[in-house]
Amino acid sequence: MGLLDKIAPAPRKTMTLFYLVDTSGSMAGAKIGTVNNAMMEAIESDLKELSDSNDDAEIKVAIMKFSTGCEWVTPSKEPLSLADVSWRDVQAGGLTDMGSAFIELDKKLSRNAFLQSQTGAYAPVIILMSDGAPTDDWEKGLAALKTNNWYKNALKIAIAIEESEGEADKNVLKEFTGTIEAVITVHDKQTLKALIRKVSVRASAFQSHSKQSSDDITTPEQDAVNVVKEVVKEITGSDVETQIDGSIDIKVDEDWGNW
Amino acid sequence: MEAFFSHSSSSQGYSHIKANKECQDCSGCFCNSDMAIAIVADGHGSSDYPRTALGSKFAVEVALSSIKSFVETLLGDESLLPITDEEESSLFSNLEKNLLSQWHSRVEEHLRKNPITEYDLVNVTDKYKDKYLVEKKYEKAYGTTLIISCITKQFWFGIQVGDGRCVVFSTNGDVSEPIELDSRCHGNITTSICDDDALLEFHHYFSKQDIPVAVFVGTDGIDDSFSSIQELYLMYLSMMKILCENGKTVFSKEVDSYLPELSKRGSGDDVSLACAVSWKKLQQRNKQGIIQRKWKIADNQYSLEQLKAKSNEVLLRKEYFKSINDSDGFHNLEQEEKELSVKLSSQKAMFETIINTKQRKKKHRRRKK
Repeated sequence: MGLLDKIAPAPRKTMTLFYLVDTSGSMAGAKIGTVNNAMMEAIESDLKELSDSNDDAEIKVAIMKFSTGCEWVTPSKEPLSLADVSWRDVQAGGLTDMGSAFIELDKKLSRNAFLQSQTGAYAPVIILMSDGAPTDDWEKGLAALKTNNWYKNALKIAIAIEESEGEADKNVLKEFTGTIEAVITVHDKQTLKALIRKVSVRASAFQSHSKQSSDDITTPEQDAVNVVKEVVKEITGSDVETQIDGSIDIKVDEDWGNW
Repeated sequence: MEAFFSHSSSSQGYSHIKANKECQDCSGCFCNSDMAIAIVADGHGSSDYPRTALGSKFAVEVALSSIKSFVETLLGDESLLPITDEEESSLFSNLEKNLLSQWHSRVEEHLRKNPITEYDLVNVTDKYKDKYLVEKKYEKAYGTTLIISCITKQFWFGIQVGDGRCVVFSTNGDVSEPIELDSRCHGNITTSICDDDALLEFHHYFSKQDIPVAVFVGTDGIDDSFSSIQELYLMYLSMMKILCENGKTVFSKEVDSYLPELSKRGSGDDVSLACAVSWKKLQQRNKQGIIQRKWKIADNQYSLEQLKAKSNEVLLRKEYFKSINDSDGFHNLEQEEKELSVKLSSQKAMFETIINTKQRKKKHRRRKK
C-alpha cells in the first residue's frame, strides 16, 4: 500500500436500485403474494450474492410502494445498504397513484437526497411494477421526473402484471422507460417471480460494473433493452419476440388462470 | 534551491482498460527558475469523437509551448502586465485565440496526412457522420477539454475550457477554486475546444497578489472519484503533505502509482492531474508546519464526517427494523450504536483540540507582532 493510500480519503462507488411497487387493490391476492415472495428472494438472496462478488460498487436499495398516495418501505431519508435490507410483505389496497410515485421519486433522485454519496458514472436502476392504469395525473408527475438528470441516465425497466389482455397501461410504462422494449408483460406468477429476481440481478450487475462494450456509448434505454433481452432469454430459453405494439410478452407457465 | 516544481501524470481508466479503449486523457508540465506550468486535457468518451485522444495530446502540446512563450514575454516586460480588468480580458482573449488557432493548425496538419475515412466513422452516429462528411467539421473528431495553470514569482493564472477542476492552495494553506465553473458542464456533458464558440467558453483567473503555494489541475475522472469536494481537497492536501515530507521523487512515484488505483476504486474514467508548485514557498510553509496542520484538520474533519455518516446509517437501520417489527435486527444494532457514539465523541474532542491549538497559535502570533 502506497503512502497516499494510507492518508488520502478512500473513493467508493455506490449504485442505487429503486423499486416502485404497485400495491393497489387490484394487486390483492396471488399477485401481491408473488411480488412479496419474489422481492424477498431477490433482495435477501440473489442481490446479496451479487453484492458479495462485486468489488466495483456497493449496491443500495430504495423501495417505494404506491396505491392511494405513495410511501417508502425503506427509510425515506436514504437508501439502505443491501446487507441491511430485509423484505417484509406489503399488502394491497387502494388506488393507483403512479403520478405521486413519480413526483416522490423525482425528489429523491438528487445528491441532496438519496444520491448523496454517488460517485462516478453509476446511474441508478429503477424497476417499476404495476398491474393497472394510473388513477391520478401521472403525466404531470412523469413530466417533472423527465427533467431530472439522474432519471434520464438511469436504467429503467417496467414489469406489466396482467391477468387479462390490456389490463396494464403499457403506454404509461413505455413513457416511463422511454422505450416499449424495456416493458415486459407477464401473465402468471411463476414468470413474474423469475422476472423480478432476474431483472433485479441483471440490471444491478450491468449498472454497477464499468461498461463492457468495446466501442460506442449506449443510451440508458438501449442498456435497459439489452438487459431485458438477456433476462428473457434466460427465462424462456429463446430470444425476445415482440408483439405488434413492440411490447415484450413472456410466460413460462401455460396455466393462464394461475394467479 | 529551485524556485519551482511541477509534475503531471495520466492513467488509462479502469473501465477503459476492461473495454479495450485507449486513454483519452493527456497531461503535461514544465518548470524552470521562472515558472511552473501544469496542464491536463480530457478527450470525449463517446465514439462520435474518433480522434479525441489525439485532440487532447495536441491541446497539451500547444498549450505548453504557448504558455511558456506567453509567460517569458510578460516576465521580460512588466509593462505588458495588465492593470485593469479590460487589459486582463484583452490579454487572455488573445492568448486563448492563439491556443485555439495553434490547436486547429495541429488538427488540420494531422488531417492532411490522415484524412478521415469510413473506417474512422464505423461507430459514429448518423448525426455526427453528417457533421464530418457533409458539414466538414472534422475538428470535432478531436474534441477535448483543457485546463492550464501557471505560477511565477510576479503573477499566476489559470485557464479552463470544459469540465475538471483547478484547485489552488494559498500560502496559508487555504483551498479555493477561483476559475468560474461553467454551468454548461454537468453530468457527462462538457464544453470543448472543438465547439464552434469555443473562444467564448474559455474561463480564466489572473492575479499578481497571493501567489499560491501550489495549484492542482485535474480531469473530471479525478473529482468523479470522490463523493464530496472536501474529499477531493483532502486528497490534494495529502499529496502536498507527501511532497513536503518525502520530497519530489517519492511524490512523483506515489502520484503515478496512485492514479490507476483511484480510477479502479473511483470513477473508472481516465484520470489526469498536474501540479505547479512554488517550491521555495512550500518549503517555508513546511518548516512552519502549515501544510501538516491543514492536512490534520481536513483529515480529522473527514473522519468526523465518516463517523457521523455511519451513526446516521445505524439510526436509519434501527428505524427500518422498527418499522418492519424486526426486534432482533433492532437490538443487534444497539451495541454498534454505542461503539460509534464513543468513537464520535473521541473524534470530536480530537478535532476541537486541533482547532483550539490553531487558534491559540494564531493569537500568540498576533500578540508577538
